[in-house]
Amino acid sequence: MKGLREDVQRVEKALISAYRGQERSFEMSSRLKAGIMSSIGQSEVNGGVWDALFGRAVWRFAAATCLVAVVLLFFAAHSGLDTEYEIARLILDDSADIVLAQSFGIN
Amino acid sequence: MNDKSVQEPSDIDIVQRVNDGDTEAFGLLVDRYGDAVGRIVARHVPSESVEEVTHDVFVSIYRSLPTFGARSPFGRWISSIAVRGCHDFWRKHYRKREVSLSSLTEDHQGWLDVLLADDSREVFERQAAQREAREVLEYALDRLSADDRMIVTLVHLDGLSVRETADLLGWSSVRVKVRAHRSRQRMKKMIMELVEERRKTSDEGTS
Repeated sequence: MKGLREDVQRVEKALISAYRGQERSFEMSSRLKAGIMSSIGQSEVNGGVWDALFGRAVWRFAAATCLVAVVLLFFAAHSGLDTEYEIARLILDDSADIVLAQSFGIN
Repeated sequence: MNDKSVQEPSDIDIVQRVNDGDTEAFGLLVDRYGDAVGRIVARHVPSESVEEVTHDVFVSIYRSLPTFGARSPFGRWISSIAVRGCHDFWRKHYRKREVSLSSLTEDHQGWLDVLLADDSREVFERQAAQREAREVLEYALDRLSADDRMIVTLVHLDGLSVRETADLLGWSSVRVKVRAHRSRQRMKKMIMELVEERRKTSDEGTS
């Protein structure tokens, strides 16, 4: 009996040969073409406005948004900004003379 | 002057027209590349799904036209969208597959027996041309993941280079190389199991 390896190789080659010998003709039918044109027409109607408003614009601003976020992060890290402290200071110092703290029941 | 060059706009001209809002011009691209795209799809998906996938590929091409940068030839760019469309088909197909996988019948075992019983070229060619050969191949491909299936088909069955496959799938060459090696090992393991099973059966028959 032949070795297992030879048998596996023979089956493998036969499967490759079967794949390559397969008939795969295709012709674009007018029905399929009409379906494609109808779908892209619909996507133009449904998605056109959305894409025009948000599709490209969102990505166009993405880089700028990331840049602003990084700048703000650096600013926050280097200026010693403490968010909780800043909020408390805003409420308690109340520069506009409106006693915001009282509205929260803090005297 | 060449009349043909006047009548037939280039791919780039048509892309420009479509991007400028002339949706009907897309029909020229469908006429020009419809058969080629369909043939790519027919190589990778079952015959009953070829039209559906070809349709989806052309809709993807239409949606991606604004991103076509003319860095690669238009035909190659379209081919890569077609291959990725087939890859998406298998991913969706595998995700929603609930029924158990097909198993090999006695016909397939018989096909294997005849193929392995005789070393001649004639038997090899006759067996490779039979329907059972394609069904055994389908049986093996069905047991791979969608990624492995595409890699096996492109690299091992279509015989494309690692670089061509990487371009078509949008993967790195290293990823294709690693996947190609692993998926081939899986295929081999599957074939080995089939051959061993067949040997066991024939041993039991003779003893």
